[in-house]
Amino acid sequence: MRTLVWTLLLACAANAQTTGSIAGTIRTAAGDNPAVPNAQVSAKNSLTGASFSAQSAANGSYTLSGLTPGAYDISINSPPLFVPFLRKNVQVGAGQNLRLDVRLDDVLLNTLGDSGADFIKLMTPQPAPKGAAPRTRDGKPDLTGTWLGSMAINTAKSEPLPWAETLASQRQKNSVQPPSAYCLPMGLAFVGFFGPTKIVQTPELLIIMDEDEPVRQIYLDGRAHPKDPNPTFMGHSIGRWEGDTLIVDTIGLNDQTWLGFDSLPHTEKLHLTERYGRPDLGHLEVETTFDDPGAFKKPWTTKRVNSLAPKDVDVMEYVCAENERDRAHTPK
Amino acid sequence: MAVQAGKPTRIDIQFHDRNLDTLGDGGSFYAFLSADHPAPTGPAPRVHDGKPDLTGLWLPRVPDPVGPPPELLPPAQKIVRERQQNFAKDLPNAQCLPLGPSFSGFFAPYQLIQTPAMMVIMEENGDPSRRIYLDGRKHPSEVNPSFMGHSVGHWEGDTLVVETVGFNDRGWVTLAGYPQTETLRITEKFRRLDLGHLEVETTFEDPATFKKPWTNKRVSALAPKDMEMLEYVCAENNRDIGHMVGK
Repeated sequence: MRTLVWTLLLACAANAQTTGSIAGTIRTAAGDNPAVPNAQVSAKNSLTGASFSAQSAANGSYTLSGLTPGAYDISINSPPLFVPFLRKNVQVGAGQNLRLDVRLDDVLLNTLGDSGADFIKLMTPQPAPKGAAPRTRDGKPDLTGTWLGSMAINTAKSEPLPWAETLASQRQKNSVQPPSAYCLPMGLAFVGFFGPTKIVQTPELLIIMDEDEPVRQIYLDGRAHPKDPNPTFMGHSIGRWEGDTLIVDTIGLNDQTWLGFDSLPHTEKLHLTERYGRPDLGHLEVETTFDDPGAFKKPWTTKRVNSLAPKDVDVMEYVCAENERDRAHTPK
Repeated sequence: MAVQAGKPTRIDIQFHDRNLDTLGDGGSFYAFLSADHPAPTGPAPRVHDGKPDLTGLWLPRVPDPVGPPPELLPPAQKIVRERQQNFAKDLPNAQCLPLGPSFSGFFAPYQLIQTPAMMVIMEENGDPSRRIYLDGRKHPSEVNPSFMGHSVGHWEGDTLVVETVGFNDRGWVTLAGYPQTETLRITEKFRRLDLGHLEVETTFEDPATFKKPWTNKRVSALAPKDMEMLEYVCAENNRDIGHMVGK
């Protein structure tokens, strides 16, 4: 584990307030150190357990104010692309305004040269052209386009069953690597997440091309799922329109992919419902409900908004086995 | 063989396939790839702008030669000889690498999806999908070399002509091990002969490998309605690599 780069400055506090504050800026440790927005900063009083929280702004700044004097544990739980930060026993005196600037390590331990900046792009709305959503000849919204990666946000916390929680924590404890380290697909939870994704829509079939996943085929011709589908990484998908929303239903998934950076497993019972909307020319909204009674107590939903890629951006060819460097660095 | 007058002689032959019959149903699989298949009859469908619609799931078919066979230049001959003597040890797909467009529709079904600005070719053989731009753009002046290359297409009457350049030098152009180089150019002519048939005539041109361009052609049958293209993830269970021992 690398040493986290942080600075703690004691500001001179002349006023006689009864509470103190902690403020600072959260940036990435790698790349050009761009600001990390929407990070959850918490201060927990070691003695009383009283908790204060704040969220970093677009420029990475945060302020925890109204802290009663005492020792605090400062934790930052930022989006899952970064390693959680913890600084224990920070003393706050009455009237003191402490400054705590943090540089967060990313989950790749800053080994990608510009990963810091790339990860921030996935978490912040990207510029997109304005205008009305295009429509197909039959009047449906046309989802066709190349869409920039965007991190899906859980709208509610997933509640894994005990076995799934245990497996996830074992994976984390033992640094078990995700399927992509073995040139296997990351699965549906990661489509449209990291890289650009291309959607090609025709009346009877819509495909989603992701740079490092098998192409998804979504049948729009009214067919049903097969009775006993062969379990696959990407599953069997059928879609139907409800007004301007395309509702995609997916079953037939194998149990080899992970559902997020918290290493959560799933079973072959996983059933996905995705709702695709194109509110305007430049944006694609995707709401995904994960339902797996084999691994979770109840369904939960994630949401992401992808921006239309600039005209000169396209999905590139990615052949994992061509120059695979992960395996040698992967714990056995 | 001595042939006697009035005495017909019968010789039945059992061919070994290229996998030396080790695939349980390899024989019938290979026969399937060289056979014509029943296909629906009717006129070729057209899209609203009047062009033929190539969209559909198409069955594989081993292509037939058109015109004289390819003639290799000496450096390519040397590579082919090495590959053959080494029992195709470095065949790309045995290592979960793509075979390239020369094997399109050869072993496995392939799905075409045609829109006015782009056609996508998805291969069940695990190769990356191909995007063929129909929006009038040119090849980039400097292409990042890839297994599947950079493809642009235009219509000449009812024929879609697709030009592909920008290959890397890691694919094989045939099972015999003809090398793919960065100067390879492939021209494919797609014609939907009728509802049930797609003809693809492919011309290979590479001044580093071949004395002159050469061509082959396949006619694919439309897949039955209840057939869907399957997912293929090579790294999931690759059993080839341990057996590709070479000499």
